[in-house]
Amino acid sequence: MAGIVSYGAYVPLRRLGQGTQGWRLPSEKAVAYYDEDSLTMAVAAAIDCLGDIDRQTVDGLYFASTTSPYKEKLAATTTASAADLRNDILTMDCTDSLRAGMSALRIAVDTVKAGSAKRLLVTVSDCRLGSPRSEEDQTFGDGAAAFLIGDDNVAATIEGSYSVSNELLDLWRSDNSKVVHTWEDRWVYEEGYFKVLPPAVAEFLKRNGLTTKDITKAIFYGPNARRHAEMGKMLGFQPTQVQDPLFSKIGNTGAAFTSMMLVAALEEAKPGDKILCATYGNGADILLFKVTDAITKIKNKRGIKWNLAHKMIFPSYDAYFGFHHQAADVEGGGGPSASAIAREAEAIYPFHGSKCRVCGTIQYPPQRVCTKCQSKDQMDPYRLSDKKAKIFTRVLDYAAPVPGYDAPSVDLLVDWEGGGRALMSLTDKAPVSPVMKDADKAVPIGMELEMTFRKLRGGGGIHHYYWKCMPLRESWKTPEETTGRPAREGQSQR
Amino acid sequence: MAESIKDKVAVVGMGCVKFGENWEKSASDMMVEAAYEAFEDAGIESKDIQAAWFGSTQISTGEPLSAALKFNYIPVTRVENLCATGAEAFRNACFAVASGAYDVVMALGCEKLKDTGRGGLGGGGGEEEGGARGSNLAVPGGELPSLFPEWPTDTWHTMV
Repeated sequence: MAGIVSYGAYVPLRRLGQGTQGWRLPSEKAVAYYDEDSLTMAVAAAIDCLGDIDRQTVDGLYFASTTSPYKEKLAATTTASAADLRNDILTMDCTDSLRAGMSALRIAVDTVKAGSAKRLLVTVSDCRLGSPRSEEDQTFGDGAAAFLIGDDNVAATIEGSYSVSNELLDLWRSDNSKVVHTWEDRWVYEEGYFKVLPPAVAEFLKRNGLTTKDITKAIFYGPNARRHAEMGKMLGFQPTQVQDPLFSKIGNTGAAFTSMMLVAALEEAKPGDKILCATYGNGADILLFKVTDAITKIKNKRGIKWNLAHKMIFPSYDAYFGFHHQAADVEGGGGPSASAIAREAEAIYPFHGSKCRVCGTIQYPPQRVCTKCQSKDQMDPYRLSDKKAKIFTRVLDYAAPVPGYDAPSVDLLVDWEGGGRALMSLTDKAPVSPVMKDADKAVPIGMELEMTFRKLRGGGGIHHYYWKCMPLRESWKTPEETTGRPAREGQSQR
Repeated sequence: MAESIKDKVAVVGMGCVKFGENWEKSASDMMVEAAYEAFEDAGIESKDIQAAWFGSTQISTGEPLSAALKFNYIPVTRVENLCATGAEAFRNACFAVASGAYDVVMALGCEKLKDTGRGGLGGGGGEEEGGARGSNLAVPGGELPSLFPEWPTDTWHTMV
C-alpha cells in the first residue's frame, strides 16, 4: 500500500504580530524573508522530511506552488539538486492552483502504485502576495511542507481519493500580476468555495462508504478563520474533528495550506486515525489517509509545531513590504553567469566540498590540490549542507548595500563540525543595533550555526540561489509569558 | 650602463591547457593543469616556486592562483596589459630572475572568456555590464583583435 513514509515542513522565522509596529491585528502571520521564496522554503521542508534517510533512494521530486520563481524553468530540478538527490529521477512542477499540492500528492501516490518510482518527494510551498494592507495580504502567510511517498514503511496509507474540476474565476493571478485578484466577495464564496467543496466531500464519503463520524481529523482549505469555521459546519464536522487551521499563527499559506495542516495533524496522529484532506481551487482534490503503526517511528521533525515555537516578531509592518512586494525585478541589471553556475553546480546546490583521500582534510569550495598535504586530484565529494558550523571569525559591514532591516551585512569564516572552513554569509540573525557595541553579543565568535538555502540578488532574469548560514533555529525561543511585552527589541528571547 | 637580460634567464618548464570553451573547467582547474604540467616538465615541485607572476585581464588579484595551487607564503603579482598581458607576466618574471632576487619563479596566464553568455570579447564574466571594460578606448571598429591586422600597416599612420 502506498502512502506517506515521512513528512517535514518549514515555517519562516519572521512573524508579523503583536510587537510589529503598524500591525493592528491580534493574529500573527509567518512571512518569508527577502532572501526566501517558494523554492528556498521547499528545500527546507524537503530536508526536514528526508532527515537521515539516504537521499540516493529518492526517485523523484514533484514541486507544487502558485508562486514558482520561473514561468519556464523547473523549480523541481533546483530543489532536487539542493536536496542532493540523484540525476536519474522524475522531476515535475505542479502549479497554478491552490490545490496543486494535493494534486501532486495524489499523482505521487499513483506514480508509486504504478511502479514508476519506489520513493518520491513532494514539496508544496507558497509565498503569495495580496495588495499591500489589503485583507488578503493580512491573512496570507508563507510556508512549505514536504512528504516522502513510498510503499515501504508507510506511516499513512492512502485509502481513497476524489477530484472535481471547476472552471471559475473566483480567485486568480495572471502571469503579469504580482498580487492575487478576486471577484466580489459574496459571489466568490456563494458560487465558489461553499458551492463546490461540500458536495465534493459528501460525494467522496458516499463513494467510500463513510460518514463524517468516521473521520478523526478533517483538513480542508479555507481563506480565513471565519470562512473556514463556516465550512467546517457545512461539511458536518464537530469542532474537535477540525484540524486547527492556524490562521492566527501562520496565515493562509495558499497551495501549502492543506499540506502544512496535514503535517500538523500527522505530528499528533495515532495509529488507526483517519485524516481527510480536502483542497479547493478550480475544483477540489480530496484524499483520505489512514495512519499506521509506523507513524511512531517518525521522529525529530521540525514540522509545524516546532517551527511555530521558534520565531521572531519582525519589528515593522512597513519594512515587511520590502521583502517581496517591493523587491527589485530580476529582469534588470547584470546577473550571474549561467555557464559558471553550471560548472560549479555541485558546490552551489547540494553544497559539496571535497575531502582528501590521503589526509582526510575537508575543503570548500571543492579543490583539486589539498591545502594540507598538497596531494593533487585525490578528492571525494563531501556534503556540507547538513552539517552544523561555528563562527571562527566575522565581519559586520555597516556600509554594505543590504536592505536597512538586514544591516549590518555579516560575513563569516565558519568551521563545520567534522572539518572544513569557508567564507559564508549570515542570515536570520537577531537585529543588531546601529552602534557597534553589541556586535559581540549579537554575533559572537563561536556561535553555533546551521545551513539554509537562500536567494542572493538576482539579475539578467536569473534568480540566484546559494547557501547561507544562520543561527540555530532552536536558539529562537518564545517568551513563556504571552506577547504584548516583547522580550527585547520586539523579538522573541534568544 | 643598462644591461640586457639576454642569456641570464632560462625557461626550464612549460605547461599549457588545451585552448577551447572548456565549459567544464574553471579558471582554478586550468591553472592547476597548466602549472602542474610545467612543474613536471621542469622536474620541480610546487614548493620550489619562490614567486609568481599571474597574467589575467579578468581576475584582478594574484590570490586565485595562490589558492588554486596552495602556494605557501610566496608573493604572487597579478599583471595586466590587455592583449599584452601574457608577455607582461613573462617579462616581469624574467626580470625577477635576472635581477638575482629569485632562482625559480613562475609566470602563468589564465582567462575564462566564455562565461558571459555571449560570443566575442564582451565584458568579462556575467556580472559586468557590457562595455564596462575598455570603454575608455575610443577606438573605432569594435573589439581589439579586429584592429591588429591594421596596426602594422601604413594605414595606421593615416588614422588620427
